[in-house]
Amino acid sequence: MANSYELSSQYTPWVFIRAQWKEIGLDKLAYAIDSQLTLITKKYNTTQILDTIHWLEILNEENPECALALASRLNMVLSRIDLESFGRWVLTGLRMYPRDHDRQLAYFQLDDPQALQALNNEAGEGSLLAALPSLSLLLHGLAGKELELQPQHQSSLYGPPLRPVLTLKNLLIPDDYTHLDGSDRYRLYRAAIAHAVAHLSYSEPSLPVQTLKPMGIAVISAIEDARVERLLKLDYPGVEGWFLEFLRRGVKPQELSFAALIGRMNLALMDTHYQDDNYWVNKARRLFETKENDLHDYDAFRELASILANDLGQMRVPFHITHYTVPESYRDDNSFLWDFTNANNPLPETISLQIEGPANQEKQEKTTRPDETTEKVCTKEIELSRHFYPEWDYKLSLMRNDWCTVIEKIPSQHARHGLNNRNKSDVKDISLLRTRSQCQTRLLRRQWEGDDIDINAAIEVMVDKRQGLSPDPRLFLRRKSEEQMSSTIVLLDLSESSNDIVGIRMESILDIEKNAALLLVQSLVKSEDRIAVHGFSSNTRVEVNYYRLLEFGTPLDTNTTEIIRSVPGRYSTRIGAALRHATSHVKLEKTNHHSILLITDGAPADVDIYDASYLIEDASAAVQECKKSGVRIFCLALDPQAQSYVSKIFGHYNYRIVDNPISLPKQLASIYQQLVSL
Amino acid sequence: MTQKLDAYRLSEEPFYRPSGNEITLYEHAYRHRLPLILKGPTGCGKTRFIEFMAWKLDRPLVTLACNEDMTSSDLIGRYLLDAQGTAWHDGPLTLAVRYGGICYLDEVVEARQDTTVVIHPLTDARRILPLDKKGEVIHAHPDFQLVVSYNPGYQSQSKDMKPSTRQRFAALKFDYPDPKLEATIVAHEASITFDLAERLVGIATRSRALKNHGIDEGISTRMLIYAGVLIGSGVDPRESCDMTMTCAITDDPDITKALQGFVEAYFV
Repeated sequence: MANSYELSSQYTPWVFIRAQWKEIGLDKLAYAIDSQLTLITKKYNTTQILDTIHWLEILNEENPECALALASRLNMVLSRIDLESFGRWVLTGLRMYPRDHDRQLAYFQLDDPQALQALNNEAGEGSLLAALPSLSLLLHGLAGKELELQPQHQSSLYGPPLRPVLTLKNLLIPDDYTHLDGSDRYRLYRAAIAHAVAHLSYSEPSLPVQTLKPMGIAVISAIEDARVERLLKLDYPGVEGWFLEFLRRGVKPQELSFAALIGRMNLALMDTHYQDDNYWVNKARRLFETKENDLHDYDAFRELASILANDLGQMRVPFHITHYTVPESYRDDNSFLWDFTNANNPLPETISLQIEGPANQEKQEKTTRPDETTEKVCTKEIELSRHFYPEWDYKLSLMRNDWCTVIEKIPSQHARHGLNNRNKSDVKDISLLRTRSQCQTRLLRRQWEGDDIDINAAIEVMVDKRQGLSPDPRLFLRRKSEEQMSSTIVLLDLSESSNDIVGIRMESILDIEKNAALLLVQSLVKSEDRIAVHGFSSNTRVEVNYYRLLEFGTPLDTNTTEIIRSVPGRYSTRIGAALRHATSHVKLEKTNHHSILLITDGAPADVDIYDASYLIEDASAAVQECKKSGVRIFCLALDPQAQSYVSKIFGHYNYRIVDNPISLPKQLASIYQQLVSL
Repeated sequence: MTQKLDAYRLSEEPFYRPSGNEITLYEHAYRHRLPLILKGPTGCGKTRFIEFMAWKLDRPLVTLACNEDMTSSDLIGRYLLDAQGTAWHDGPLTLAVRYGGICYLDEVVEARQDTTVVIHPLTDARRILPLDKKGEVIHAHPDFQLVVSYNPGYQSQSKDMKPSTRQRFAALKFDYPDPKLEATIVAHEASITFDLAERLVGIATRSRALKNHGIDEGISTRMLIYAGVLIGSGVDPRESCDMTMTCAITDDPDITKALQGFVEAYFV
């Protein structure tokens, strides 16, 4: 116990929180966490531990006994499931036994068999984080357009379960689906994506609410859900099964509440075999089927929905907007369909909360992070040298000589942060990369010995022999493995926009870029290939900051890692000047192949340029110059909307759009290997 | 003399459905014996098109699949030994030049750039092929035409054509046919129903949207025909698609899973 306490005393963020807890009388809870911290600190990084503590903190607000019970069993629980599953497991307990404190306590004491069952269920299921890359691709392919898929965090223990939120550019998927929602969460995510695609393909977004009442909105939305799902079924016959699995799961055949009736109707409209004894449900099915051949007629279905809503009103079915959630967990909250700006009725609270989306959550997260105050950026940097580069003015078709000033700098040693951010999955990626070989084979002709006869040399030998000449005995072919030495600069975009927070881990794009670059460098420890990590940002053409964070041939030690991690994201993105400077560096390398791998999160831009095309055209010109000098350039764009400008800058085949930043390390490694093996 | 190329004539009409006016354009190009580049993604029908045109024009088609170990001797020919001494053997290019065929260099960028330089004198007004080792200059037969193909999807500057080679050719750009036409082609080639072929084409269309988002090229028409053939012979559609499409096109688990999602969206 002394050891645990000693360790927890050294653990700065926890010391900070514990001091606060002591002040508000949470000594017992703090003591329970002290006893569990040893193992947790070995397994998780600072952010993840703080997330765990946060869960306990909010559970304590609702039910202190449960929080204490869980804190005392933290190691046991976390040995079975990961942190993402931890939150869901807590929510499962609370949703399984709403307002029943005794059973909740039994659950968190692990005395309830259901608690262990829920642990097993969570342990066996894939996480949203791991599924996001493939789900992003599925969404992109089915929707046929760029759409950003983001996780949506549950911030309230007793709040209604979250539903996906759809906008024209984003789809937010809840991270609070528990095994109560479905035994295989990937199938649930997949159904959510298909439903979103149905809306994107067939729904008119943002229709004015006008005088509609909340119940009317809910019924019209449910009918619209059914209409677009039917239409999607015509395009993709397989999705019927995706929806039915969860429509059947959520249905409560005996209940007569508004949500239950809507759930029963939703199933009846999709499942022809479903039998329901409720008159209203059957009326809905009958009316819907009369319009079945005219699914594109939105007005007809809206009229139908109005009749059904009117019936529910006459049936005196109570409807409470604050308690209503779309019954099917895969269906979105329908905020996509409505524009509440001129509504006569106030915006439903559940919808308004969810419309805020990730930006709102980021703000909330930012205010609750205790270590953030330490992350103020010190801007005192040491200038090393200045270099002048041209810039292409496409309007004048003029190369302006010595137009941009690239200033090489050493980044300041400001507050270190996130040094322990690397997690287990990243480490796994490194070992995978080490196994890859960078060798190329080449066919050598006219060899003394080899695997095959060089037919041309052999014929010459025979001709020489017949002519009485002394033949050259080198008549073999041999395949030789040749080390194709390459030098690559990983060029990081360090602009302000890279500070945006993304993903469940709440990492900034910049941190993800840095982690990916560090992982790549570490994976090449045993390779002959040379790699450097440089970064850039710009503050008008007279200040293009350029940081040689890791030089060619320099080992990646703790100091260099700290430098890379500490370099801040600020200012803008003048890609052209940075590429020209990076090219001058990589060309000094005496290796066979020279490459630059640019990682950026947005289009080139700077505060002194107002024409959006100007820096894109200049970057495109810079890429052409680099190619002419024999340097390969490839871009990894962390912007799902990047297609229009990256194809213009880098050509049709020299870029990849990373829809999900989490997959950046893997994609960077794969592109790197592709580049150096060509 | 043209008997030498009889083995290279196509005896039956290859199945080809035009997706634009490529047949007319090719006929015009052939009338003037313009060298041609056929460029387009893998498995979109470039080779089938040239086979069809060779059949339509009743010309022998000498095809050579290029690779990086190929030398100019592999193209033009070499001296070989026989009982009487050394004897010159024409390479495939020389055969086509000498006796009047269409020489089709498939995936020409796979050959090293210094190898393909031998075609330069054939692809301008001279239309000659110098055989240095033999001390002979062949004036191309009036029926001779050179056609090369390549896939611009390769992300390598080293696997691109030299500008000096490229500028000798006229080019026809190929792409996957529009969905209805592609379904017709798949249905015919795999002997399956049009409805089934349409679903396969739908999967391919979805996969092509992922180009540059993790895969370099989407599922090709050829892959769809493979899938159709398996389905036609009784294999479960999802298993057929897994075998011929999702597993074949990528090793990435995330992309595989997304592609499987497309398959499952089309096949219950």
